[in-house]
Amino acid sequence: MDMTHLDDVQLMRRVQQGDFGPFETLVARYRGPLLHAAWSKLGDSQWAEDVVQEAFLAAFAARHTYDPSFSFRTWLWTILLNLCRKQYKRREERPREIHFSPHTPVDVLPFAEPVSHETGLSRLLCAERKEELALCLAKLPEAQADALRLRFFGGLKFSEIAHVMDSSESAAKVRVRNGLAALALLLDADEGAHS
Amino acid sequence: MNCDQAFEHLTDPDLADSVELRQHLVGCPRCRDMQETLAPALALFARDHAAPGSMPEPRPAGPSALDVASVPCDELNPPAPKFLTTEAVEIAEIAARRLSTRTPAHDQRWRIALRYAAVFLIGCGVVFTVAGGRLGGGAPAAAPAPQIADCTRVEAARNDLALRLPSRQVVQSCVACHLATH
Repeated sequence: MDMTHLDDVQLMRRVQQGDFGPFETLVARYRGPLLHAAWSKLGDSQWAEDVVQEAFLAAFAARHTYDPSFSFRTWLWTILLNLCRKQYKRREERPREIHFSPHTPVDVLPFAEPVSHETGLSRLLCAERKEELALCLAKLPEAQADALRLRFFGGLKFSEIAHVMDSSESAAKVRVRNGLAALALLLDADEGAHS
Repeated sequence: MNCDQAFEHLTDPDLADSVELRQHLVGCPRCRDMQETLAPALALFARDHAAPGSMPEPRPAGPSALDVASVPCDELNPPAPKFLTTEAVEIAEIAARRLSTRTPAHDQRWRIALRYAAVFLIGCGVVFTVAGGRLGGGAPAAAPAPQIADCTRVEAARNDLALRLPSRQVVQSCVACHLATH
């Protein structure tokens, strides 16, 4: 049964009532943006998969605590960012080099397979752009980078970013603005170094 | 559209090219400057947004959160989640508690802060009035602030001159109107 027309609250109400099928629609709705953000934060597609998987499972297991007074996606993104931090700590115990290698095979990246008219070169360029962005974000203070991920990867409103980051709405805006300004400076510096 | 809304459009890949935003930028040098400063970073996100592989796709192999939802089960026999730690569930529960209590608490904090700010401003006003009365008995009266009709911003908005006005002149006009001193 197609439930894509239902909003998050309606879907979660059904899940809370014991009909678990609608959770599938929520997973399909948010998996992509969450994966994108987790990959850019952790720098490893397998870790990102694990964290996103765990975020969905945690939301499912704690479904009884969901309250329609807050938005589901705000809750989900809050869980994801917290799990990413935990993941970092967990991995620190089993150290492994974290980097967005420019030589990462494109097939390993957690992104969609290209459509047929794409060439190998365009796939490579696309992967490079994503890596460039992820590398730049990794150089920013965590709060600014997270605010940018929430705004641009998650498409969250500033009020929602404030909820996820437990800040005021104006602080969320300042983080996004300062993050963009810092990113612009980094890009300018990179360009200066290349030319 | 005000400057706040303009920033929201500017940072939304779907609205970054809206007519409203363009109209606002024509009349607002401050937002125009900001757009120029942030342009390289915004372009990076716009490229990422438009890239064909922007949205990650589920990997065909491997366990999925969908398994949990699709296994036949009932309330008495909930499915056994895979890869789930107690810590993760705690995180979800704590987040839910925080989010459900957050809004009123924040509103209350803001209300308290506003109350303190109002009291502080009234106090400052009283102090300045008293001090001004004692010290400035013989001092000449403050120069009157320019009339609203002389405000360059208002004039610019009225005659669509914003593009031709140098930013220095705009700043001077703001200072003249809003920070009039002795």
